[in-house]
Amino acid sequence: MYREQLGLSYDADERAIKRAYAALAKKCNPEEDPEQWEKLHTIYKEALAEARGGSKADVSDAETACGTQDTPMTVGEVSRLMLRDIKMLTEMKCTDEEQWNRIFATYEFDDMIAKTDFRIKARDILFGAQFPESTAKLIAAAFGGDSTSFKVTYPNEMWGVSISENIIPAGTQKDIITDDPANSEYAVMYSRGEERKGSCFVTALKIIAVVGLVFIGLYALLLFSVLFI
Amino acid sequence: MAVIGIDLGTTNSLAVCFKDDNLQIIRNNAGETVTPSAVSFADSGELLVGAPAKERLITHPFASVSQFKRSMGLNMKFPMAPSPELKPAMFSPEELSAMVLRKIKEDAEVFLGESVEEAVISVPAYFDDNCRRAVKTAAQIAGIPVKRLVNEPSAAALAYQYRHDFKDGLFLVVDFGGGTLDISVVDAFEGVVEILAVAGDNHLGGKDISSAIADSFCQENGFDSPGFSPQICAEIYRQAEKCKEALTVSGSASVDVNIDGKIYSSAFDEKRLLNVMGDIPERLGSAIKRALRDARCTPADIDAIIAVGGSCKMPVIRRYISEMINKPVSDDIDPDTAIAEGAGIFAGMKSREKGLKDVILTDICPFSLGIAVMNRELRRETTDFIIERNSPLPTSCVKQYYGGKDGQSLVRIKVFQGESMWCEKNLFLGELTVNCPPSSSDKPICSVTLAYDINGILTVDVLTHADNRLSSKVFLSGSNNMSYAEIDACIERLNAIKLAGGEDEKNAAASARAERIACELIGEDRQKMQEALYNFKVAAAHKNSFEIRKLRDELVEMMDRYDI
Repeated sequence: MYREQLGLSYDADERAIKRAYAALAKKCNPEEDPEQWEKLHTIYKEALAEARGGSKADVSDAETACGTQDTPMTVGEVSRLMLRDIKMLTEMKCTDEEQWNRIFATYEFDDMIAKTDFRIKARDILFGAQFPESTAKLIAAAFGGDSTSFKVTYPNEMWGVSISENIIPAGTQKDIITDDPANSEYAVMYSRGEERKGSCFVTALKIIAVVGLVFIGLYALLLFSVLFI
Repeated sequence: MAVIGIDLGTTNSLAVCFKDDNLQIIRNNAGETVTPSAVSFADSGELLVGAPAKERLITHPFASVSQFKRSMGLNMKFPMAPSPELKPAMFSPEELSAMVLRKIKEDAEVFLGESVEEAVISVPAYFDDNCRRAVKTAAQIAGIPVKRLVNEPSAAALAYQYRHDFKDGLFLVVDFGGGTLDISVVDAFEGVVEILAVAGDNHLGGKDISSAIADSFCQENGFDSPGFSPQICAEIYRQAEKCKEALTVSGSASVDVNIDGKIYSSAFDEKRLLNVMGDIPERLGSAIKRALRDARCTPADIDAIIAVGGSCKMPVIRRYISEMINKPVSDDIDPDTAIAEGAGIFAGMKSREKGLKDVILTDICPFSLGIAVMNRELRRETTDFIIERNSPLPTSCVKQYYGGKDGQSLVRIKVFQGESMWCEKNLFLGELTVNCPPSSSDKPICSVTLAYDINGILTVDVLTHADNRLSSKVFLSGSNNMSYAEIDACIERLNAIKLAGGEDEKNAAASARAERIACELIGEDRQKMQEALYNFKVAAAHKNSFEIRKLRDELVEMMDRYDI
């Protein structure tokens, strides 16, 4: 369908699509006619995706196949490797902050710490591990949230790390606009498609339903006991 | 009237002009194509830019500055003073860059024999809005009109394509310079050069490799470098740099430093170099992986690797890249000049040169752009991305948003640039507050359109649904975070500093180099060097131009003999 918009037949191949796009782009290039070009480029990209085997699912498959020696790197893989590194350093009782930062100072880690299951696994790995104060603080800070470092005195004076499951960084509570009456005039916005919470009315209905069920249950119990007796 | 392309590099800068279907690399007044990005005050208080300033980095560290590109857009100042006793003047990276740009412009005008009407400056693709703005400010201070910036890897791709008659293929551009790393995936076909993805590291460069070598040298000789004077530190660093350069042509090299008359040395080969580099190859590798992932292609799809930037000359780095992609690194392009050539070609495209009429470069937005939204589950603001990174430019996207509470009558849109879901980790670009009739939170309250054009101008449109009213705001990346008055003040300040030129500059360059070489020599050689330098300085003070020139030529001849 997109291929036809470029003046091609429906089964035109990648090569033909590129040639058609290049010819059209020379007439409306991004410098002189940005709006037309933007439309043209969208059509071109869609046509390419169409020709490369249709569905966008294929594209996302291609996305995962990347890395050295063609080893696939999926999100799961990244998380697994990162947890492996954290485990290794923890078992080594590594105090070299540079080694830790090699994990923490990556873009991948920034993506990972938002994921609850990653945090839970990291918490399990770090559970019971002991470090010098600065290392423990470094780890806790890297995970953010309510993650804390705390002093342990047994068997000798060291520090432990506890990683929170949730990811509300400590000390940012003041940013919550909803809870601040002084700020309540400001926008609090949700992305489209985000789950909307029920209103009070729905909550009331739910309460009535629950209470009703309890009553029916009690009534049935009463009925049974009367029948048996 | 010429339009030139300038590569304003971390260590070196150069300019290229595309004229009459021909690419011309501009030579400066010393006849060199490369002007080091260094500035220094001469003892007389005049300003030196380029090679003489680079020499003075070692002999007069208090008066000289380089590597300021790394601090572009940051609120930082560099101290400079003609002598250590005087109170140093503080300069921002913009002003220092402006000094280099001004020199390049003057040299270009002399070389081309016409005035420079406009310039295209290349910047690392990973420069964020602040940094890009700082480069434009620097150009403004230097008095060069700059409408467009071009991403360095895109420029390199253009230069490669120009050399190869715009052949088709998918290319990986690795731009590993003195201070920054940029990776681009480029799809070229039918004269179209399309950038598919960009990734990089703003704080990784050849400088880190030199520092690693210098650290290893200090460790081996049992030195604690902070205990040294700045001169000795600079000298160790310079020798490390020299050793790194030697390693690009031979299998082994050594760092030899003359400290208080005693020569310390340590030998390096490729194995040791790899060892001291630590995580540098890994960081390079992860940027390449990211770029490939964003471009949705695999290493097998890549047709050729284009490696530019000084650090890509190192065999270790080239081998690492080529083993990673499983393709040889293309070697028919000069890593030092490719970016400037590309900037020149781009300038030629802008001024509609005949041979480049059918060439189209489409670039992308290297960062995601989004607005702050309240996430109820987390009960805090998070970034909701509207324009994803690597979107082709120009681009515009629209998204709908709900109000946070019933009867909301104010919508505040805060725009951020960056990849983190947390707003505070991203770069805040600006905000727009819109009033609207109170509306319920069940229906979308507004839709927000972000449009980002090829000049880096971001437009935010907010359509409130209740009254169907459109409010918009333009975030000008072209305008500056410095006000016009501030820029004027900078221009005045720079104009007050006299730029050393002609004979004076040559004299200063020769004596700076002689002083530096004298530090490296010992015994009889040093004495000879010092004598020649002393004679030259005396002559220079007495202003007999014939005598000066004669002595300078002798000095240069002598230096060429000693300077390996």
